[in-house]
Amino acid sequence: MQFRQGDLLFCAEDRLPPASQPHPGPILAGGQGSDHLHLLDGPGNLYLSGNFLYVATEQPTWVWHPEHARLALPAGTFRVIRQRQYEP
Amino acid sequence: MSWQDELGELPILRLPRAREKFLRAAEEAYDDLGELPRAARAWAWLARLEELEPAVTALREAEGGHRLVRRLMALEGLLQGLPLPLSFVRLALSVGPGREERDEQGRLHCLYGPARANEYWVRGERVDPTWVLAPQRKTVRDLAGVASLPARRALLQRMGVRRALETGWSAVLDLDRDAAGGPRRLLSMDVGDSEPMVVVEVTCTSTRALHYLRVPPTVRSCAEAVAWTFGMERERYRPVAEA
Repeated sequence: MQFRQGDLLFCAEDRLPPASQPHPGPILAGGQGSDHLHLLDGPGNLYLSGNFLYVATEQPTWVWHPEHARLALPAGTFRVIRQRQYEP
Repeated sequence: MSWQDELGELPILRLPRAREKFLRAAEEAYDDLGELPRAARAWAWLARLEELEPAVTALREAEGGHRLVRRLMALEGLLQGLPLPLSFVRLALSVGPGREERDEQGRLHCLYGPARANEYWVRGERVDPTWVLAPQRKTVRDLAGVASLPARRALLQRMGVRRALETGWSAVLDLDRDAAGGPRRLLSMDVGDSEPMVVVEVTCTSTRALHYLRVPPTVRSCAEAVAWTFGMERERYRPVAEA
């Protein structure tokens, strides 16, 4: 199951990867300036595995962004995929 | 005012949960780097500035300003997403006394300031300062005056896809609507490269603003383009909720 808020896609996973490490803070993604900032604004924790960030929550939670509507995520584990662009 | 209070003045940190989590993470990181309360003050101060030049001047004049900025850059993982305009930081680094900016291949290169004192270079080619200082005034036709392909590609990136599309002719390769009914277009434009610039124009579900995303020139449909931006095949990209 996939959920999207702006340039972030949350893909449901069965479980966290074995080598994932807790990732401090609520920041899911962000770039130059606050226009691309996504924050976990509810229960749940972030984990890092390789280049991917994961959200794991036992209760429904929310993702906040200054411009987009709040995104509701159900309980579960989600891999966070950042939108990319082609750069020749 | 404590640095925690200063940070707390920033709009994003008025969200209680976000503030709590961020401050805890910041304190942990700052414990590892002795002078970070001071860096945090500099960051909070920078984040409120809207003008580039005063930010750079103040940084250069501040005692240890460059060292401070380097520490901030070292914390980029933490700072990513915070309202620090990183272009300020990059420019501040680029104008450091006696410093030369080079790319990974050793060519003089800086897209956000002079690559060395008062000289603007991009991918080893000296360019007019307006390419760096006022890219919003350039047109896609101006790229023809840039000799090397690596420099043209970098300057197209600096100009931005939207500006390029506004200042030249593009062909529409595909038209459709996303799941929320927002219109999408796949556009192709000749930008003086060995391949055309192919861009998908999407409408934000929340704000209705238009966004432009460059995709490989082999992409032939809007749906394929959007799926590619998330690293997926067209068939696998199926969000059940979008905001």
